[in-house]
Amino acid sequence: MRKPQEGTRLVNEQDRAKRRALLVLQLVIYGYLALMIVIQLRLWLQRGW
Amino acid sequence: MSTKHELATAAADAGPIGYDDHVEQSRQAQRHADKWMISGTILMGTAILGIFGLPLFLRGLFLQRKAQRAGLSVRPIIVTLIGYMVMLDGALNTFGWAVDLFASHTYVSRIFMPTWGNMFDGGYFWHYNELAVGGAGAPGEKAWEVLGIFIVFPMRIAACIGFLQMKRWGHQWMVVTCWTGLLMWMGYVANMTVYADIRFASVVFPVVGWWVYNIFYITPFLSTPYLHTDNREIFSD
Amino acid sequence: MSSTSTEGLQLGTSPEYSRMHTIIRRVCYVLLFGLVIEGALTFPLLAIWYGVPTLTPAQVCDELQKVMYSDESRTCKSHGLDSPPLGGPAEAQGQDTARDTWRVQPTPLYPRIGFRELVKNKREREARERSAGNNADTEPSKKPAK
Repeated sequence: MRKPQEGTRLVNEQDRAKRRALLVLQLVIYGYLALMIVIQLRLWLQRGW
Repeated sequence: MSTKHELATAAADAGPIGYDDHVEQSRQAQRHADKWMISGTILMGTAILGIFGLPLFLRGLFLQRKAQRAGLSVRPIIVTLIGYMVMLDGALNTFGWAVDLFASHTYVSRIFMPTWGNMFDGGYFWHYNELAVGGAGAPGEKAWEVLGIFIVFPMRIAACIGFLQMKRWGHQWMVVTCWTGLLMWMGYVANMTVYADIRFASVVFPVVGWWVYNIFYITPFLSTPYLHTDNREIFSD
Repeated sequence: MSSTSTEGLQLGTSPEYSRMHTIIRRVCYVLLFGLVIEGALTFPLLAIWYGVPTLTPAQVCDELQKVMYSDESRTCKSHGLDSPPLGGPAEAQGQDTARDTWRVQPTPLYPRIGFRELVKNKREREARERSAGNNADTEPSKKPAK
């Protein structure tokens, strides 16, 4: 049977990994939007719509 | 009969009945709140009647909060909000795109779409109603409309129904459908950027106008992190 | 609504994520109000910008078509069921007056429509047509359309 500390440590590791993954997800999705906005604004400046 | 015996009998009798009573009361309270919220969401889904739907929706939310404070087992507020917001998002998108796909040659469509398009997104102004299928002529736009109207938004609305009923399948479908929402956002914006001249040239409020208008549709961006961090045990079979 | 202690938390959320869930909930309220206000204001804003009530909606439709396809003779005709998607040709199918720079990424060449500019377009066009009509009485030649 697993020791309680080991079990908690695993949960903590899983939890940390999950939080990191969530952070990466949010950085990617909002970063993508920000990138598109920046590209469009640059095109606007270049082409003077 | 002694008082202790009476109390014991009363407690034994009241136990299961009390629980059933609580469940029934909670269910009724939730149903009552949902009636207001569903009517509100339907009106809000039409966009133009939305201002009449919002008070109805808020009343439903208020009733649910009241029931929650009274100790009844109702849906968490965030589940309610996300469920109805995703539904509203799907309904509004469906409404607009269905008009463009199915009613492109009506007066309503030929006034509303090109004026909106001329102000925010040239894709709905440029060569409007020249395609054989009619409607917006921007490259790729019809493909996104078909994907949305026939696949993504029906799935989204079905998922919301299950999600709001606190069903496990509802939660699972919400995860899938919110991810598809993310994909649609990213693909759609990439397509706009590639054909940026068509979308933004000679538009009244280029780039900024479109983003300010459409940023309110980023519900899938918010719901996805929630769905991956909530306690799924509260969603039952 | 949510706090760091477990008692204050909503069902389904845990202390690690309560802050994020609170933020999500609040942003949902912002989005909700935003969508509703947008829905209410869009139609009036568009109507006023594009000339209503000086122009009737049908006239706005006409003027839009003229700018869209750079053709002053275009109007909004009424279409029955014999139009897309049920059947029949699209309204502008086969048109050849639209001005674009045709490349793999086309660029439209129609002008921007300013505040109530459609009203101005209509007035100027009608003035031109009137003066062209007057000239036609005295001379055989007509002024070219803009």
